[in-house]
Amino acid sequence: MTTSPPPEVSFTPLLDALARGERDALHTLFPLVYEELRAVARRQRRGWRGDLTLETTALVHEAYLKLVDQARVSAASRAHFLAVAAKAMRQILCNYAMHKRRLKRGGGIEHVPLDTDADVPEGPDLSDEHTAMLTALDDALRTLETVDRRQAEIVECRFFGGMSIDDTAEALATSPATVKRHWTLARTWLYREMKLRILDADA
Amino acid sequence: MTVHDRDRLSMLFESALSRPAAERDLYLDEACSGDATLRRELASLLAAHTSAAEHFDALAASLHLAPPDDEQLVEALRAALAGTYRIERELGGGGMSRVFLAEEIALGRRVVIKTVPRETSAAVNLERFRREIAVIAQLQHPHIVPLLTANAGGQLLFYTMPYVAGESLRVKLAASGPLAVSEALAIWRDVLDALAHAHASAVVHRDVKPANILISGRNAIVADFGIARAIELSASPTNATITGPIGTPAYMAPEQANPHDPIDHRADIYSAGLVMYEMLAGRTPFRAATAREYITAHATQTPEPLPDRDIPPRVAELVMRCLAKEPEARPASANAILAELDDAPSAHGHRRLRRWMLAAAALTGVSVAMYAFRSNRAVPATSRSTRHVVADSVRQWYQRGKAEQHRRTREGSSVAMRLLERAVAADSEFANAWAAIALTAQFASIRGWHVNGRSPDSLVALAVRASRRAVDLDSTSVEAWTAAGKVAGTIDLEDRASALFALRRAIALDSNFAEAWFEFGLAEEEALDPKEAEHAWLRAAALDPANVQVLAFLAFHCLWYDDFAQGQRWADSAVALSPSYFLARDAAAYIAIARGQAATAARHAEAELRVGGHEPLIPPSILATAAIGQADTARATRFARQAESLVVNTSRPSKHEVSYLAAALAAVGDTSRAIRWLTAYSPRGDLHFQLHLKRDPGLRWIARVQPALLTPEPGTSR
Repeated sequence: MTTSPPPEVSFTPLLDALARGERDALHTLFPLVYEELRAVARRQRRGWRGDLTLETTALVHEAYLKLVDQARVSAASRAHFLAVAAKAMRQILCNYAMHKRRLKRGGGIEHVPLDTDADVPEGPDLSDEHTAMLTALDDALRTLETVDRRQAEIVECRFFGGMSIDDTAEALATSPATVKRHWTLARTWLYREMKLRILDADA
Repeated sequence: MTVHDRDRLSMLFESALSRPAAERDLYLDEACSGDATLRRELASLLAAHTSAAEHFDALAASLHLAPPDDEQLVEALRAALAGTYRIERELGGGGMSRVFLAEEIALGRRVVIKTVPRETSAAVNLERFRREIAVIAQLQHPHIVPLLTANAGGQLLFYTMPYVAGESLRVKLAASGPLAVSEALAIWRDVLDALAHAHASAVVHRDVKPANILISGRNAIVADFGIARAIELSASPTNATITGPIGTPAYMAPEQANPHDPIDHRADIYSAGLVMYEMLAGRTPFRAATAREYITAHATQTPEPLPDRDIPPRVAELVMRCLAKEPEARPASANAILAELDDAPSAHGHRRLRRWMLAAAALTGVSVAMYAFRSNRAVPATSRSTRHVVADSVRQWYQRGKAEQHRRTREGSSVAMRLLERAVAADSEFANAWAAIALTAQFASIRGWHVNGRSPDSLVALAVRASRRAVDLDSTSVEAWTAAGKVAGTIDLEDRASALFALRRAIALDSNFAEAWFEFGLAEEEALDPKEAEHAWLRAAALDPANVQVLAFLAFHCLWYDDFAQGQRWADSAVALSPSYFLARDAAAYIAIARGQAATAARHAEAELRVGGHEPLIPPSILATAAIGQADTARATRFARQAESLVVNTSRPSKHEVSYLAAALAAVGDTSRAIRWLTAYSPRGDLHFQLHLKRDPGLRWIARVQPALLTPEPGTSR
């Protein structure tokens, strides 16, 4: 595997702004992290030299870990960075799932060139069941965002970012107890929504 | 819904979740106070909660996302361990369990803490789990990772073991693929050695797989011995959470797929064969990917032959024989495989001897709870009985003695004791005669009988001595271990683990010995595990359909669990086989009372009176209880008084008699006298007495009236 160069973008000023509560910083920071995450995934892909044994989602996750590991962010803003990266993870994975569904619906006729429309390099498929679940989760999260935006962010951090309760609390400027409580509710609420969506889609 | 509403919703949801499931409805009623929409929403969320957690974890795993740490679990674990262990870090889990590296604060040593998945631990009876673990914790062997403790904190169940530096065979195989034949053989020998030792102690691993084999230096050490079985045995019978087979599908013997099939050490032989196959081939012998496919493959697919490499044909043949679908077709034991390997030419000729010395060294100084087993732990498993030839005349005394003992009467015990003592006087190395003496003495002592001038107390002492001698003389005698189990259960009533340990060992030596199954059932029933007890007694009845004691206990079992129709069938069979057997009559009588057939009950009591002499308080107690069933209070009171007056004339009524007397007194309405009698016979120190108090239909009121009597007194022995 080739060693990836460290990210060229400096996230620190934007992270500091985010830490100060400037939500606008997120709009600038997010595309940067998102692009960087895709770039890392692409580099990894080339590093594998055609080895297709790893699933796409595993690849993205590898990229996420690498990015988190390499991005030179201060300890103070680490949690904020993680939260943004988690959001990017959600976007990439959900786009991938939707792309896959489109391909399936189009019977594979529609050709999507690698690295442009599709967000991530191809690997062995995500199972249909998981594709459906991921799409349903994304839909349900959109609904949740309109009802309780904070809960949706907690899900991004906990689920897509694998962040601890404490890290999530720090990134979202709230208490661990609140994160725990909302996470418990949001997870159950989302699951109920997803089940409805999947049932609807099947019907 | 506003954010404020969401806050309220999340608070109510968290609060409802923190309550026991049974109280949640009531809580919602109060908390929602008339807000029907809110209540509906919460009820719907509560219903979805468990599946939600599982699906999120599963989805995260399938997407290769690290599932968010279950902080609650870690916090609960930290709280439960506070002061004893300090968690250093998580080592990663196998399946649903989590594994942590921790420091044992008092000793400054590193230990590994494993948690049992929450869904599973909810179904587990902690006391029972601890007892099972206590049995496993006695395993001491250089190739077994010993268990240190098992405990619970809140809903969390965990156990600890020493930290072994090194990697698992799973990791090793993933990194290096197939191993050199010599290395695979060395690892296999270690694993088999560990299995042989555990099997000799009646512990079956049930989850032998590369992930449970640790490679440390040049040794392979097997971890998680018997945990799967301990969880299964301690799962509450009413809780259906643990329904599927326990084990890892890829390494599970065909018979393990059916939870109702009896599993013995040969399941481990199969799994050990799979492990060796994988070490040699770098893959499993079946083409399967999912759990279901594996289970089908184990049952139906012929394993693919080992690859054509430098594997000695005898080794290859041995591995394939381990993979036989039928347990009978596999090598009989781990020791048998080791013996065959030793016969095969190899560079490890002297290893076995060194192993034995290591094992013996590991055992020195180990405190073993069971008095009887100290001396023979290091004795190789060769049968003395095969070497020790018993003279025909001595054998006849022994057999006649056993027959007398089987009459289960005072006279029978007396004659049996004389014959058996004659047998051991002529041949002091006759293990089974000593075992029979132990059983006879034990039987008489708990009934308070004097036998040939021996008091009940001296009979207990004799039972202990004789059972110890039997096991010392022949550690492969199933009768010796059965007697040891029976006696261990008598001398320390609190300690079912020792009794179960010895009885399991007996069953492992000969699973067709009905007496061992019977005693095992009794020990399980006293440990309040009716499912296991019934299973054992049914086994005993199938092996020895004419054993009236087994039939009588099956009848009692049905009486205790309110299956009166089936209970009557068992009791009737027992009475038909042996009309003079008092326990059969007792069971039949109390079942008749429970079914409202007072006249039948009286008939059984009168028949028992005619035979006479066994437990004299019981017939009048039955007659009193039956008379109440016929609304004849005067007659009932007369019999109850008669029973009570007999206590004065009996040197030492058995606890059975006292419990039936109490039932009779309660039936005639004199609960305070009933309680006085029960209290006088210290039920808190006697699990068998406890069993009657908790299960006899005539005594269940105790739980309401005098619950303190039902709390066992820890550490009491008789």
